[in-house]
Amino acid sequence: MKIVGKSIRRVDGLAKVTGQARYPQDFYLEGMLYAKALRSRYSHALIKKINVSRARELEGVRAVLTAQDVPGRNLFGHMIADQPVLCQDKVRFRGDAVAVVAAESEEIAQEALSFIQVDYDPLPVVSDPRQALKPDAPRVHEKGNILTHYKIRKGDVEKAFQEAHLVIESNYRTPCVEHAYLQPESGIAYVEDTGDLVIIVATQCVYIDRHQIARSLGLPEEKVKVVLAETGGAFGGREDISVQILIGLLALKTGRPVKMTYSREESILSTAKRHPAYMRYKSGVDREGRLLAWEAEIIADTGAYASSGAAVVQNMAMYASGPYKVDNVKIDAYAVYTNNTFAGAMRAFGCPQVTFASEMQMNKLAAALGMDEYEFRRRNAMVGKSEFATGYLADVDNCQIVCLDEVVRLSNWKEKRYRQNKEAGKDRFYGIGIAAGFKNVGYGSGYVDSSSAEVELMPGKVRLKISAVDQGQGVETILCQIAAEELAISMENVEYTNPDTSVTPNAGSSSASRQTFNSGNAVRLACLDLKKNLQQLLDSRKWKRPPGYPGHTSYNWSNILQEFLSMEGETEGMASVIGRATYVPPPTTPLDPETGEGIPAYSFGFGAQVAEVVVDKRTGQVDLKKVYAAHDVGRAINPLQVEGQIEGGVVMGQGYALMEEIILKEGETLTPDLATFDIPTSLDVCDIESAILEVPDRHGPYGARGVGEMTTISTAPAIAAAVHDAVGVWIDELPVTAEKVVRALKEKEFQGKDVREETLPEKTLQEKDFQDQALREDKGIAHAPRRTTSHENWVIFKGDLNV
Amino acid sequence: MPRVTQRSIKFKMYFQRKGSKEALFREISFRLNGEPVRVRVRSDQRLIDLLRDTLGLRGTKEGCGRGDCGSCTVILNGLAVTSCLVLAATVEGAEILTVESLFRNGRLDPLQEAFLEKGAVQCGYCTPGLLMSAKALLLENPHPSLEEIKIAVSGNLCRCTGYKKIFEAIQLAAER
Amino acid sequence: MFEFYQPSSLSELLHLLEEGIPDTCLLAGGTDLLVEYRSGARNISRLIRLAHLSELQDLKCEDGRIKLGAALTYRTVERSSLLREKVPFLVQAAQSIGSPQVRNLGTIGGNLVTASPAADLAPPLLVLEAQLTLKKKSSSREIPLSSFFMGPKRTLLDPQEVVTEISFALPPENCYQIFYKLGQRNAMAISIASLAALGQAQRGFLTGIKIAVGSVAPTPLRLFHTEGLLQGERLTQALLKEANRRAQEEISPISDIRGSVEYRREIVGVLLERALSEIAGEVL
Repeated sequence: MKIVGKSIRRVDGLAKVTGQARYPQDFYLEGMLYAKALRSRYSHALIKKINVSRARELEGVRAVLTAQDVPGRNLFGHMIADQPVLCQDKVRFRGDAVAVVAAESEEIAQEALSFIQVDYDPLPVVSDPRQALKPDAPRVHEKGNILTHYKIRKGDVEKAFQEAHLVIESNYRTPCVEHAYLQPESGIAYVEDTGDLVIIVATQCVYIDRHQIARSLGLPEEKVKVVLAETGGAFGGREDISVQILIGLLALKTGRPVKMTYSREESILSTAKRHPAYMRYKSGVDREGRLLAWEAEIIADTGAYASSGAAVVQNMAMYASGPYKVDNVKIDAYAVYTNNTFAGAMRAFGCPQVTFASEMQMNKLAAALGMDEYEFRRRNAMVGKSEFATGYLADVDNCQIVCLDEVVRLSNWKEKRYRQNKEAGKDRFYGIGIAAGFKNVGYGSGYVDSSSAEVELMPGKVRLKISAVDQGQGVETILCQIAAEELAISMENVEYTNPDTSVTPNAGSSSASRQTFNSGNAVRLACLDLKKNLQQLLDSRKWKRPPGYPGHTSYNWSNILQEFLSMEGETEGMASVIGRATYVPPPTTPLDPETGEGIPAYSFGFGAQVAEVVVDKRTGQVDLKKVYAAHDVGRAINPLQVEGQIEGGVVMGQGYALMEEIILKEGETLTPDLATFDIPTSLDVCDIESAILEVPDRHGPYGARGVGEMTTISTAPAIAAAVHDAVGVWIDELPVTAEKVVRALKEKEFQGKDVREETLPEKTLQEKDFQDQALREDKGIAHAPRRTTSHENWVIFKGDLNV
Repeated sequence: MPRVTQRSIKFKMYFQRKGSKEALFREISFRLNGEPVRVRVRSDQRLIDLLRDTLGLRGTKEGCGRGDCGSCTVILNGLAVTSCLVLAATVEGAEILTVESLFRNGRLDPLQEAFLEKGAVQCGYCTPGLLMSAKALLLENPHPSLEEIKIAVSGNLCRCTGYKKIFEAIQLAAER
Repeated sequence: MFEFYQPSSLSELLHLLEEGIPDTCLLAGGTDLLVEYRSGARNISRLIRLAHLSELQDLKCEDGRIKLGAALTYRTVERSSLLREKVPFLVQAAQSIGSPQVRNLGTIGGNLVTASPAADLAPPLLVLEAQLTLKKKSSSREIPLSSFFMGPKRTLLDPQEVVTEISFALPPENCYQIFYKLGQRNAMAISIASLAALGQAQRGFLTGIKIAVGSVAPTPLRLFHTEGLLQGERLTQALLKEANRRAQEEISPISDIRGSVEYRREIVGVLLERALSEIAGEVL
């Protein structure tokens, strides 16, 4: 292959490095107004009265709108519509919009907000999802606080735990975090002469936006045109509507272009977050280190509105037991409403939370078994035809194994893991940790997952029309590469048409690591269709062969294509030739509500990472030294971009592991900006060594599968394991802050000894079973001291899941 | 689509006290990307707003408005600064370079070239600011160490790349 | 909107201040002020720029004292060969502030006048026993930095006054200079706790010990009582324990999003121990 597999430069790179790329902020239209929204003063309150008359009188104010001005359905939501465009009778979180203003300047719009009077009747606030589950908790929505409860039931966990040699039970907690893409939400709307409403916005899917905008504005979808602006990062955070409906509403009311740009604070306050999760995990293994049973109870805080929370929590349930073979599984995952900022999609869609918990369990089990963490995972990894927790039987090849093997080789795990002297300076200790992880490619679970593409051959170029959004991940470049490869032309001949619902066909959203897979296939098929059409053109003899080829049989579609490309500009009477296709991936099914049985997805991405840290035992500071990341991507269509996904995913995982947390108190955000919500800087990141593995996918284009999300899920548990290796404490709650490390070390000191070691059973494994054990013996590395307990069955359980 | 225009500087004055009119506005002169500029600014106008709204240079991006992210970095008298923290009125007589200065006569700056070659660009929103921080570094120190590069861009957040390719790109540009 | 003035001399600036217009603010680096103004947290009716005034740009060593103009930027401090040689820990503190962009704008006077409990320059300047020169049209006074801070965001500064100079005596040649800052990340971090120390050990006995801390009290704080305990003593485990106990009495940290009271107390003990061990040249 000439183009697929090459590290081609980004097709949108030139515009981005020269500052010419136009994000929504960069659109300035003649006569445009500026919009600002009034957000709720309370986390939970009834609205008694809204008086906007004073604000309307202000000079320069062109519109002040409230719920009664919303012409269509005053509800929207990415999957379940339960969020008001403008709140009418009740506010459920601080980010709720109560009124919206359009004015001649941003300053006037801001000023006008202070003239809007809202009388609230405050209601009791529920800000902890565990509290929200209680029957007497304040109700965020009429129907109750449980959005969904997913169950997975496979085998008999009770029996398996009885029979298990070791059982480990722990509570985990992962924080609320923010996507923190650098470009704050922004959009601009105007009404065309035809009466069509145009919305220019940064989003993850122009079609899903259009559907929601049209519905709330009471317009037929064809009267709404959503045009993609350059999108400055998304990571799931732009799946939800932000400014779109509000600016559309104001443009319709004022007849003027309306622009709205969120401040960073408004972005953090009012847009979706990653679900904070409380997780109780219980896992059992047999004497040989084979997983027998997994049980997990997961309570996820979905905040004030559903967004895609139900699907996120379904993903948590499906992937709660990790990429391992287990016969007995019992999972209960709840999405619970609270008065916190709503949670939705964020890179890896539920998997970062459960992977942290399940990989911590794996590391604890390995430690308890006295088994090498890598060997233990390898022993239990799904290989070949494997049955998922949902009962789905699929061939996953040896993807997980190759990732584990490669990351162990790359990091020199076997030597570093058993390094005897861990001192790295005064009070500083070295540690190394490993974690694996997998995630679905594509929506799965029965959702429509198709993608449509159009390839238009015109004089001088091939125009690729598809609504796949490039949020930075590089899908534009990938799809152009595929088109160029399929048509055997150069990249310069392919032009990517900006996604626009009136021009480009629906490709679904840029989420679920699905665009390379689904849209890549759609482009391939469209190119096939184009070739077929060209051949037909030739066969129909409508195409006149140039004089050089009289009657020559080798004259084929490619010759016509080249002739088109050699034409300059618009050639008189030259019609274009179009190839069209829709790719429909293999079917998946919704999960059975009682047992979770079903087909969760059609493709999966696997990975494994090793982290090295140095921990200061006195201050608790964790210094991340190096991360090794091995990811199976099936086929790297653009290896440079795959590396970019790995490095970016690892650093996002590092932030999740060590510093990021949106702290909410009674629904109020205490970390409203980028000085209080800390993400990693250039001085925090470490060297990342990545390995791109290519076990071809059966359905992906050229064998490719997705990579965008899988790269971020194993980092946090690998770092937490490294911290444990360094200083001997498990930090079960992210982020692993310096303070938590110190606290855990103090507790351990207070208890006099390591609880884990105290309750560890006599080693009963057959040493010879494990090559690694032998390795340890060879090197004369002593085993950790262990004590005998009278029970074979033992449980480590701290804390109480229910408050 | 309506024509793209400069943003009109209409506003209402909300100050409690009658102030001296001259002090509310200021006529300033400075050099922008090598060209002289003379413009009237509001007393509370920020440099970023002057560049984007009044002068139409939209390559400079706003990501936080508080100096926390570095997206709006420009070079002011040879030093990288976040233009959201600079009052326009204070740049009288200054020399300002924005990302637009790097691409001249169809030629990319070695930094821009290296960013493309190394894959240091993903969503691109932080890119102009990063380029200007890197440019300020190379103007002062043409052969920086990796540590110096990391420090020079430590005020520029990037959420996509993980920074590694950015370091590599700046190293490559310095080598050239 | 506000009136904006760019006086051409210090006397013009003092004259503008003298007019006593309510909500008059001085603009130095502007890195905090503009953010506060835009968020509505601060009213400004008159803004007077001072960063450009040459009178506030001094950086010199005279008669064994270092004199720093209040409008020197952090960057100038970072790159001054004089300061790098004489007070490296002050340079280190300057390097730990915000981002390079902020250090190119922000001024040392601004860092102190803002009176954040976490002001990074304050602990080293406190142990250097810095004096501030405060000027108004009619008068001028010098006050020690240790009595300048009144509380979070509150100082002794009169509305009509400006800090023009920060000066301190050169620390003794053989003195250890220590600055530690603990933040959640390695750049653009607001400290969870910071500590600066000066001192030396002569034949094992601690002398000239001065210690100050940041982010663990309503203001940056000199630990006078703790110092008193250590002066002239030989560093032992017992003394260290006592010093920590004394320090704990002097500080009064709060819990916030960056750290709890307990953690801050713990960390002050660790940083104190590390500083003293370094000065004493022995690991306890």
